[in-house]
Amino acid sequence: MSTAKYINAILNISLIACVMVLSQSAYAGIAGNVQFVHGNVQLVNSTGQTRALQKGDAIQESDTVTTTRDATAQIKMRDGGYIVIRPDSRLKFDSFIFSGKEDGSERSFFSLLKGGIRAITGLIGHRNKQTYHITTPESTIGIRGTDHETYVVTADSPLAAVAAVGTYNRVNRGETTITNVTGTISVLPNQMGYAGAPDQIPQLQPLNLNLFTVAPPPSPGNKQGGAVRDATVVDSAIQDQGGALGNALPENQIQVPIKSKAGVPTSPQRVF
Amino acid sequence: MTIAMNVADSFVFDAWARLVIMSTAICLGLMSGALSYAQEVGVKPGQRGGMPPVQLSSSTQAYQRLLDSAEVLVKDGKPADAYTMLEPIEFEHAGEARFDYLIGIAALDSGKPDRATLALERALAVNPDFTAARLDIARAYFQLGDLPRARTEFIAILSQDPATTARANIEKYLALIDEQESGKKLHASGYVVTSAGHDSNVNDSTSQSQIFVDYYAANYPLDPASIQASDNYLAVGTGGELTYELDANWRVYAGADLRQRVNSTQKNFDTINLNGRYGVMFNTQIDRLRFGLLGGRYALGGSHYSDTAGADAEWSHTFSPSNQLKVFGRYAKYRYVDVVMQVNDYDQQALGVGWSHVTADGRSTLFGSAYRGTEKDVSTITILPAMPDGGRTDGAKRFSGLRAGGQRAVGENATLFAYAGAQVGEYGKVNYWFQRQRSDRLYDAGLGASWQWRDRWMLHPQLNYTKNDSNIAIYGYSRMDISLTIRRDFR
Repeated sequence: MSTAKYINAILNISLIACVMVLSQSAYAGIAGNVQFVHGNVQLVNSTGQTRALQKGDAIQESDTVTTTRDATAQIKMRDGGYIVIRPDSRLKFDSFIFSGKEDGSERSFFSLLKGGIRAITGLIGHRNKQTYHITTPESTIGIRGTDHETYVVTADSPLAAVAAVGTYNRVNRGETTITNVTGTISVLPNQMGYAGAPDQIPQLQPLNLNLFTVAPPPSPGNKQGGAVRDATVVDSAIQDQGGALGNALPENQIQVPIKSKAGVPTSPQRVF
Repeated sequence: MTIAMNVADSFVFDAWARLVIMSTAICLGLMSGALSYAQEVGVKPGQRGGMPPVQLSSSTQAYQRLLDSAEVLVKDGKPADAYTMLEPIEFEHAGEARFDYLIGIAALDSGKPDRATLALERALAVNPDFTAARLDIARAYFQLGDLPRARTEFIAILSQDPATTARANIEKYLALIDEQESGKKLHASGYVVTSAGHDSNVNDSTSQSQIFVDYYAANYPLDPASIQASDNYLAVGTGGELTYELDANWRVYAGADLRQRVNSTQKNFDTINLNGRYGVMFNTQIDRLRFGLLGGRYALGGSHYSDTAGADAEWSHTFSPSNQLKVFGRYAKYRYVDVVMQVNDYDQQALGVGWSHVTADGRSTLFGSAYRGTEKDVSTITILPAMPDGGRTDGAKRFSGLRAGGQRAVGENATLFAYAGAQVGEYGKVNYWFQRQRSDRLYDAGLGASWQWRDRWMLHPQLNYTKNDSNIAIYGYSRMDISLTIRRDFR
């Protein structure tokens, strides 16, 4: 083979390999897309460029999303999960790798620097728990297939007025762990775990509603909220079901003695 | 040289051309990768941020028709179908108030409260005065067991003056949250009840004064006490149950009920029922398992008449907020105290399956069940030379039945209900006196109402009808019972 042909062949192979590898790596770098934005939400990419986040935007590895007060965003992740970023928060998407299946190479790592998020996990972490975690200044949150919410209260946050500085984690579904150098605790549904500092043992606490009340309050004095569903199918949880009529046996008839006209038991006795 | 230069030029050009192609390909690859993912999650080609989606844009009639269809499906009790219809376009339309509310209630009503909160959070972020969304997110929190947030949102709605029916429902939720959040592991409930009524057949007896006995080939006169007798009655009762939470899933329970019925004139048929039960329960969000032991004591005409002892179990599985499956079983020994009646002792075992369905508006519930069982005659007492092994005259019994019923909330504090059942009973032995195997058809039906006129006070008119058709006339009877009951519950 001539030198020219040899170089040509190398270039051809390189061309195909570059296209395949680079297109795949670009695909892997996208963590998710913005499903919903409300208010002022900013994205800072790995090169430090800042732009306002809009619906449909892609979130890449190393991007940091910041919300201002009263702003929120929902990100639909590539593995089918969701990340909801609460008001006055900062979340960094540290690493996200997903080939479309759980093959051990996947990972979804975040750093919650301030404020709160809700995370509904997708495929990542479903089987390999170590492939998903959220790092906070005080601890690391791990999961076991879950819908959970995490808040980081920093000293400069307005939330510091209503909650102690530290990391708070509550679970809606599934289970999470809070780990730091002092140990690990499990947090089950409707429990809230708290880590006050990296060297403080995480502990379970009663739910702090100052942090975890999501819906903004209605306007004071507003009485015109529109029609509501007076009753729904889920209200059966509070209705008396009448002892589940129809789901039981009829009452047993107690047999009473049958007597002859003379007032004594039939003869021979109890024939009927 | 020239040729060498040409070859070299050609090679350089070719290499440059390939590098250009490679760069272009890399760019295309990057775009293709990003594009293929964007399409996966619902972003349309060319869309970035505020650019409208290509299809089903919010302004199109097709999209509005789709929302209308989804709304109808939710109202028709098919929320899962509505959710299936809306979920694929959630990415495109998240943030639109009507879409977010519809997909939120479709998720809630089809048993996905977590997904419901995701959508309703959006609706409330955009419009905090969206009361309907707030009420349904409160319901979703309750479904998730997130009682503190449910309470916060329910209370917020009360400040917005909701309609009377909605307010009544919210107050029920808040009462239940208070009860569950009390932190007590031991829960007690009880009631007292009193009734007045008229019973057309207090002794479950035939209306015939004489019956034909095949063995004698003659009519046989019955004592008046064995002929249908009607009477007025008064009844009182009380009962209670204690449950203790062992952990988030396991509970133990114990309860008892005592009822006494006094007839106006038919004192021989006055009754006292005392029943007790205890056992364990295992609850998860969708499954509930209960297993327990039971016992009972029955007095007739002022004398201890029979005893019951056994066990029962029930498993219920919630498929969605509107549909629940129940499997139940029971084993019980029925023993008579009077030596003369002990020939009728039997053991009963039964297994059944039931279904309950709550309608889309949450105000009606329908029930249905089917069951089968046996009654084994266990007595060894011999009363007839023709039956040397003893046991009751008609022998063992196989039975199977169907039951169905329903109830509907009327107004804020009243419920109407109705039920009906039919049971076939086939006995195992040829009755010596009537010279045939007994075969019964037992029918019962009832209707009534429950009216809560004050907190924990209930007024309860009811009409019950029972009829047993038997191929042995003496076992046939019909019975009509009309009563008015007042009940007070304690918690």
